[in-house]
Amino acid sequence: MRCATLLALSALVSLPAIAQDWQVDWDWALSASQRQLGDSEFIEPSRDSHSQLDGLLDVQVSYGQWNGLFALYSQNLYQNDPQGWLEHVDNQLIVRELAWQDSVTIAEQSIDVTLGKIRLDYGVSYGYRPLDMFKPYRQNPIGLSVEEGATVAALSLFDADGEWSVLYTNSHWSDNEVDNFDIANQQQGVGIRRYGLINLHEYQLIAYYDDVRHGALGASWVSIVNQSWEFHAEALWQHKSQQFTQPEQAFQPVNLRQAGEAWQGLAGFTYTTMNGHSFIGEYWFDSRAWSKQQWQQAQKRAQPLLQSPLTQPVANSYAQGLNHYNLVQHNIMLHWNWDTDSWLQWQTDDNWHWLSDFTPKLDLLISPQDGGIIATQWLTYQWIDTGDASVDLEFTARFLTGESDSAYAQINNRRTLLFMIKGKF
Amino acid sequence: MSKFKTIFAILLVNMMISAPSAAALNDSQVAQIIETADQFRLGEESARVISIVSLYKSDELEKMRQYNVYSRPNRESLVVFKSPVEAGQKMLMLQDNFWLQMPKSRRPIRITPMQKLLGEASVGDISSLTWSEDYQGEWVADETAKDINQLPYSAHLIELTAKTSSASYQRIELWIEQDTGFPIRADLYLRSGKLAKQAYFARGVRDDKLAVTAMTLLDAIQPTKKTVIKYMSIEPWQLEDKFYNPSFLARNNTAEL
Repeated sequence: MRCATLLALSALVSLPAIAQDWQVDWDWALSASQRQLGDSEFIEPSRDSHSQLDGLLDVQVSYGQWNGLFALYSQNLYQNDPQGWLEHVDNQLIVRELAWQDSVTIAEQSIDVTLGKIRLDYGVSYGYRPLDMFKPYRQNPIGLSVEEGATVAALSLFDADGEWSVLYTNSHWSDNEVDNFDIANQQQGVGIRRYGLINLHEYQLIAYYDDVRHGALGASWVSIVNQSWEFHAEALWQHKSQQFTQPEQAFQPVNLRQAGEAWQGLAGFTYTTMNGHSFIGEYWFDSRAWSKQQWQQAQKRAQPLLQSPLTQPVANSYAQGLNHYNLVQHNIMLHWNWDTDSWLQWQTDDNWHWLSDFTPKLDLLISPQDGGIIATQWLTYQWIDTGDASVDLEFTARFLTGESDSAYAQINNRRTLLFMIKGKF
Repeated sequence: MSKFKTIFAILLVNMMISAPSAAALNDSQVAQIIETADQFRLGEESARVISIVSLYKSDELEKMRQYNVYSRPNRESLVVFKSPVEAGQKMLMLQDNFWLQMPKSRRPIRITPMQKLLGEASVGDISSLTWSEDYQGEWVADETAKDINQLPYSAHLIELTAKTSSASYQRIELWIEQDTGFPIRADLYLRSGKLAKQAYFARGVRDDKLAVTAMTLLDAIQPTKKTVIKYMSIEPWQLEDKFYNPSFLARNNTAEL
């Protein structure tokens, strides 16, 4: 894997600075965050807060039918505990994508081929995307996040109404640090997908067999019903799944095991007003997550175990329930953002024109069964934009709130404040 | 084919102007005049249009954008964002269906007509170079219209009303030169009825023919703002059908588009 990374780096370094057919696009970002930590029923953190500075340099290189996307991700350029600049820095070179895509003619039929590492994101939703099923991704991230693709070999046939594709994917090549749950979900498999467009409606059907799920069927639907409203739905059924299972005996730890069939379903809408306000509402269900009863049982069991140093590791093991792709089975996402430029189109008062450089955004992730809420707000200020280069400043705040015995309340990061400066050139 | 169409249309316009000047024009005459004006702007049924957009505030250049638009009949176009700050971004428009592909992402986003209208205004201004497909025209009057240099022209005033939900403006008052059918200026109105922008069309030569080579948009709501769109190149171009397939949007890189 390291060889592949080095190969990609050497290919990047040997690029000519300017060449007509090359396209090189740079992004950079610096992110300073402060996290307020709190006790949960599973873990008592050793400190109250943590501050750190992270950096990201990201470049996309395209040449002919080749496309590469590489990131240098540096975490802990600075941290407060133990305090130090560059002493605890963790540098990662991540090959996010490196793929060749072209068309070939087979039996007088033009077939499009994809070979290499690339993301295949077939999900159609905002809060959770069941059909982004080949490589895990960070849901609803704040701060810096680097997504990478799976190794893919795919053939696609495009027709007047859509696309047929057959594909092989392998998600084992990961340059990002991955936890045990991600490792257990690393898969390889083959499948077939149909995408179609019927008037104002789009659908997808996917059948996939891999060595983790042992069979999966997925589908999605998107409809635009009028100028302002969009509705979408997606679902995935899988024959086998990886789940953290709570033990029969109180003194045994939580274990990661292969479980039976599982399914995820999501339905949602987007609504946009003339004044620039956009709203997204989504509900989704994930049978792989712990139910309300399982979370209550986990808290009840872990509470006494946490009191003794001997049984603390067993209590800590219950925190693994937070590693599932969804923390709870029933989820609601409410999203709002405001395109201030559109609002200003209607204003004659010059005093408000400074607002056009600001974009506010709010997410509320709600667990309706146990009353947990994760509220995230973003405020982005476009500082510089010449067309050749841009710099944005972004402030993000995330709060975990709602009921104190909810699943979200078991996350030790109670509050995160984050300031980011990011640019393109 | 399009050359003959242009010549035919200009002949028709000339025939019309030999009629009594104050006479109202009927629907088919108006439609023909609008098509002629379109010919001066796009001139091709399937084309690649390279536009440079300069945005000014208080006469100072604030930012620039480049868009390559691949349009074809039946209101289908692919907009490729070429400026470094937007490189890799694409927008696909198939009649009233829209998809946005963000840079460094493999997730095409289906957007509503309203979301498309809310996007950067200049995208709407560069992505549609014809009025005849999106608007219904009606003759209002014959009067004198001045271009951006204050030169007067005898013109037909035509009122255009949007006939598609995704047209950038709900209503346009368009002044077209009587002699040639060349567009002189336009007042662009939002759905609220408010005047949004005043457009002036620059006369130039493309392929040895009279053509609109630039458009200056004066912001009526924020008077300090001005946008100048220069059409650097408009040439016949046939992209393969798959480029207009939403599913293809996520896979093609934009280096050669």
